[in-house]
Amino acid sequence: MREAWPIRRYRALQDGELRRTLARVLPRMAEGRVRAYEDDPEAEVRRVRARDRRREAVRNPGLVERAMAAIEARGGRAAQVRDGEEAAAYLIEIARRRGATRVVKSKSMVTEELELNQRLAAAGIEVRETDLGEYIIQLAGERPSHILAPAIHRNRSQVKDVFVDAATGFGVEAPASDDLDVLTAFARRQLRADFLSADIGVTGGNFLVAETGTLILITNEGNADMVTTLPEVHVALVGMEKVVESFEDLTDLLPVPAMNGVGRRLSSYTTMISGPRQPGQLEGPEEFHVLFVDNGRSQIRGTPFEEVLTCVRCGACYNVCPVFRQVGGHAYGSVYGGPIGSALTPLLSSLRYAHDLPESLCTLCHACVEACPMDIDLPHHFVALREQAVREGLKPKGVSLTYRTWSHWWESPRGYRRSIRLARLAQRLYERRGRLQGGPGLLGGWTRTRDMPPVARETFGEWWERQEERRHG
Amino acid sequence: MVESRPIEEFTARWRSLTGIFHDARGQDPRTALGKVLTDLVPEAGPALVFEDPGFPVPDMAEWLMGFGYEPIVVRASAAGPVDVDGLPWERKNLKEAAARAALGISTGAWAVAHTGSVAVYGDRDHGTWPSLLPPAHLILLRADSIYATLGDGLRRLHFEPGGLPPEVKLITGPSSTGDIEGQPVIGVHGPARVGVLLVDAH
Repeated sequence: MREAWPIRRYRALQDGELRRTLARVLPRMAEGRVRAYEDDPEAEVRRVRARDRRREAVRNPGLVERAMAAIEARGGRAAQVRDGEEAAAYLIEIARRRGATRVVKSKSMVTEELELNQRLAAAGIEVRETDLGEYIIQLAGERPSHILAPAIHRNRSQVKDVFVDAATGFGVEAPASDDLDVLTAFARRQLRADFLSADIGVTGGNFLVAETGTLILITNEGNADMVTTLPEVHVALVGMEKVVESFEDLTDLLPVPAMNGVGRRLSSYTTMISGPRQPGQLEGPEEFHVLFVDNGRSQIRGTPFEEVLTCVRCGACYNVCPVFRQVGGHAYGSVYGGPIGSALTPLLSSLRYAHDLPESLCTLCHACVEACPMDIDLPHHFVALREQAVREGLKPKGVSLTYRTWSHWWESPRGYRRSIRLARLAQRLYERRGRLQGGPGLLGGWTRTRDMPPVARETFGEWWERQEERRHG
Repeated sequence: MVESRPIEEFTARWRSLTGIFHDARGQDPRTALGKVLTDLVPEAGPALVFEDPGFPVPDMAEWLMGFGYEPIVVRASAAGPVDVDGLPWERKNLKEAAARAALGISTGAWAVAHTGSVAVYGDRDHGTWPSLLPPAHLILLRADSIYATLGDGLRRLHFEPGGLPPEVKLITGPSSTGDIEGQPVIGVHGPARVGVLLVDAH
């Protein structure tokens, strides 16, 4: 059961550290994107081509099968999994067969979605997150709060506290200060041992090329390259919508996440994996598996919401969203936060589960549409989801009744005028010092933290009518 | 004749990403290596060298010893990678050797000027561990393998005569993170310092 939005909102707004960090970091990332485009006149042309290729790809239901055949042809293994349970079962099967107990993971949102870590832990398999941000929140027992920077809600001294606690648990020396290099060096040292001893590496996938079976991982820290080349087994979990048709598509697609997320032409590491290690090669895994994850994606295909599947998880919409900038990712109460999360979460699960996201966490300002490299019209989808929530009876009766009455009165000029006259009478009960405080029904709650100006003694329409009468007498 | 415009653009981009760049064309290779190592590695130590059969530098190990390094050589052979004495490497031993190296040396397959990236291959004849486990990585790059755009490089990769390598890594700067307070920190899991030594096409 998710906590109610007012509780999540209240907690986020009380967290001064969180809001200071968000206010500092998010505008910088957003400006980075704008500058990167200014700096590279052809980037816009490439972005539009990339968007078109993504749109074609999510409409093409045969791509997953083609990708699976290409992976198998190069010595890899491929399978489709419906949900977290099937994904975990696949991994547990491998672990049992190989006697493996230790998994290292590179950052992957789809595995968060599948709650893979908890499922593997329940089967006695130890999972270590190795992206710095994911490592911090794993040690702290938290969820990621930003798609690119999962620990963005913590400042350096809070990170130090997490590491000091962890060091005590590990029986190792704690970081001496909250200097960023010192904190990073602590994580590097601890995780190095995990990389070298792990049995299985688990990653997500940014893209997967159907033509060649090539998996793309875009990272900055280098942990994904450890995870994919040091253990004997590499399992990639890839959302079925991440498949693109041809190798040539990569030219326009590879730069999209870094350009739009942080304003770089490419991230530090763009890794392309086309199979397990060859005979005579020592690096890389003996077994390479790709699991294509549905988990609700096929129910979005072919609907008016289909373009949501073209998302490349760059994070650009998080960085510009005025709501996200105030409350951060945890306030969404779901794996995917930010504007895209407000669409993805109800679409992947159900509207009943998360109709608060499209309703309450969007001001329809359209900043996300402007920033989105795939031109996903999120506000349009939010309005459609709000309508659907009303149709499905997910709104409290009082709310539906209020809005129905409101729209009934305002449908005609005569109803509008009548409602104004009525409001002018009724507001006498609530007017305090020229402001409305309190009111019947929803208005009472609304004005608890806001002021509403009263209806004017004479509206413009009434004034105009009076002028007309005087003139024509 | 190697076109100079992509080289200049690559150099500027690579340096803007804090990469070290040294143009060794027309220079004595030993002297050039010494210079780039001075900039790249704070203190000499074990150096993991993955020899590229398509790009032999026979005296590399000797030169490294001369500079105070302890070369750890990986040489591709029909039976799998062997060390400097021709003995086969075990996967586990190579992993450990790579993990204790102060420097990794490997060759770049190609580079992209527009993004400032170098592609390294992981296949039978090429290794990516030198670019991953040591805190510094030196890439030997042929001047005729720098392409203007990412598309040019990817086309070359797509039509490699030996097929797609199992692993290809496009390196664009050092290992880095912005995960704490969005502040850039260099050198997380991979190398903090990356260098390119540009050499003649032949």
